[in-house]
Amino acid sequence: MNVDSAANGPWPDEGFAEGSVIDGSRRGAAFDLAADYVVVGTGAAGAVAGHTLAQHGHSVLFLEEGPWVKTRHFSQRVERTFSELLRDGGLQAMRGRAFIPLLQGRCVGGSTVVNSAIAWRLPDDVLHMWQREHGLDALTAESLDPHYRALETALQVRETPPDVRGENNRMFLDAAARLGIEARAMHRYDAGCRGSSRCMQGCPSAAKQGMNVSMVPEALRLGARLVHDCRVEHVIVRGGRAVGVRGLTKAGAALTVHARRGVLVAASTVQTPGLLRRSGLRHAAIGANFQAHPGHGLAGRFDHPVQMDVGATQGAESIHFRQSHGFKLETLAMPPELAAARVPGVGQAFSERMRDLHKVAVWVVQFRSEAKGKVTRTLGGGDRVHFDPTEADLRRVRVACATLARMLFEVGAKEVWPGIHGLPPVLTHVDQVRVLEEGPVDPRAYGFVASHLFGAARMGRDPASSAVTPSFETREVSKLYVVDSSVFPSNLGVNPQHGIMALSRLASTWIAERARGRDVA
Amino acid sequence: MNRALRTPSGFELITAEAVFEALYGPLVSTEHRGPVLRDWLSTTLRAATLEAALGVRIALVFVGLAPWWVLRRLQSFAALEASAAQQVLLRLSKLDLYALRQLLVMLKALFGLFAGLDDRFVAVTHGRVPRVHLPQTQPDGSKP
Repeated sequence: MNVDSAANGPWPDEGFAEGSVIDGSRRGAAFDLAADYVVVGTGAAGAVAGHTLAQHGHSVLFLEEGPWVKTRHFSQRVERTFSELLRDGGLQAMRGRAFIPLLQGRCVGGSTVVNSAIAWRLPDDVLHMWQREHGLDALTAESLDPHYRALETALQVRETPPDVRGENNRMFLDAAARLGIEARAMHRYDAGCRGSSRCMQGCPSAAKQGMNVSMVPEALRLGARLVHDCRVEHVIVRGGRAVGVRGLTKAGAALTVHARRGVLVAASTVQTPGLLRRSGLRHAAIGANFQAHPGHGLAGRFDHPVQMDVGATQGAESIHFRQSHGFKLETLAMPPELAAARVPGVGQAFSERMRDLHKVAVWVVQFRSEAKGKVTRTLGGGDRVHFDPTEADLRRVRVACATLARMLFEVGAKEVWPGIHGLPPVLTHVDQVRVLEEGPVDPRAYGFVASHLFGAARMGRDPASSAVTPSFETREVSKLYVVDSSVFPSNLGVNPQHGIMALSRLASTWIAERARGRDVA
Repeated sequence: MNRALRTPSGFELITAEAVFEALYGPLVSTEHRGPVLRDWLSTTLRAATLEAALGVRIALVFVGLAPWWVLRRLQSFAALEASAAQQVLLRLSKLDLYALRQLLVMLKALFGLFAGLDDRFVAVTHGRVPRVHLPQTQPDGSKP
């Protein structure tokens, strides 16, 4: 099923009360605002935190660095998506031995506007490790359960329905079943997916429950306000307490916000450390312990149409190897203009393969890296990530690539394109898969991309190794909370949005209840 | 200063046209190149971070001069006939030196985004004319 034309709305991201949304790209004169809580960032963590606080009756002001691109403006063209919705137009990269592109949404809704809305509760083994090694005893499957349930109901989590799976996802499930690999149709935030395969470009039918069409609009209807196109320069600290923020609109206006009860930072694992440092915090854990789930994709060319543009962008997955090898396998329908960089060859061979893209399936590995990186400042004051997968990480990636290649051949691929430098660019028989198992253990040989980021302001009970307390408050400034995945002590091995939202909801519930004088956690 | 650093030179623009032609020429419509590409590239680099803009400019200069050491010919990439241009790109794509190999990967990815703006490219790579959504309005409210 595909979508013939954009419906007319009305969309959930339209029709707000006068004054509830301020467009910083049109606000050129200095102004002041006040609220009980200021929430920096409107991605998965910020949107849920602001929504939760608004539900508890507090006045909330969201500040978002990026624009609010509305559903009716979403374009199928990836070039426009990148320039409007992604940080640095999608040209951001982590530094190390290899340049690993880093995709982050920079718009109202953050990365939830451009991700595939995949829902996974935090795995038990991860929570147990956080409890054991970081003293986060209050984070249990039981304490998080009501938050998951509320989010799953509000955002309509359900299995990808068969009628929008598309051939790319169907073949993945078939291949896994034939090889005895446990797999399933993804569970996603889905209010009526129409299978237009445009999760990456912004959902054209507002079916994907990104924060831009769910928690942010809902919070605004509860009385919250939003300033978008406004970068927060620093948190205002008086007497060791966060009392507001200073920002700068895109049009150049200085904004001062007075926060009566506190400031919640949810600017992302890459930007949160910089904001904390600009605000005078100096804890050694700020910027340290950065982790990720880098991914690498393999393409398979079939002799029949696959039509990746029909069906869910990502609709099938396997965590069969998560515990044993630390990787997860998924489908990923790539638009042709993105797939082009991964199509082997130049000249006629390249053109012929590009003409066959409608017969191509792309499946990817996301691996739970043991490597730890750091987030530092550039000379110009920007944020830079240093990250290098370890040799052990790469040995596991080799197993994953070989597994994906076997799966592709199992369901009839005529060619597999590994995209690994130093290996044959095209494999034509399953017997050749062995070369992937012996592939390079050098990150420069792979085409990694990273989008799941964790831990650069981690939370824990030990004051020396954690920048944030188990109550989500920074150790150096009171009433300054960090609620995004910066606080995660480790990566997960599954997609993080659901865990991020659940922790943010738990944190903001605690904050709201504490404001009422109730002792929690 | 920043603006100047982000502005591609004439040599870089000519190289960009030649690289795009060599990679994507057969896949896009006849009008989706030349001045359209030059305008797009200039606009894209102006909007990019300084680091990214400089990276693209370095890549274009590198490929522009690559025939000197790949083919031992004192010609620019833009002056090569089609078969020699393909030969240069193929050699660059197989370089063992990561930083240099990545320059071509970057251009392939960047120009892929530009190719994606062309209806013929979309139709060719989908194997049919896909039923597309076009935005109903531009962000400023005007009709596309």
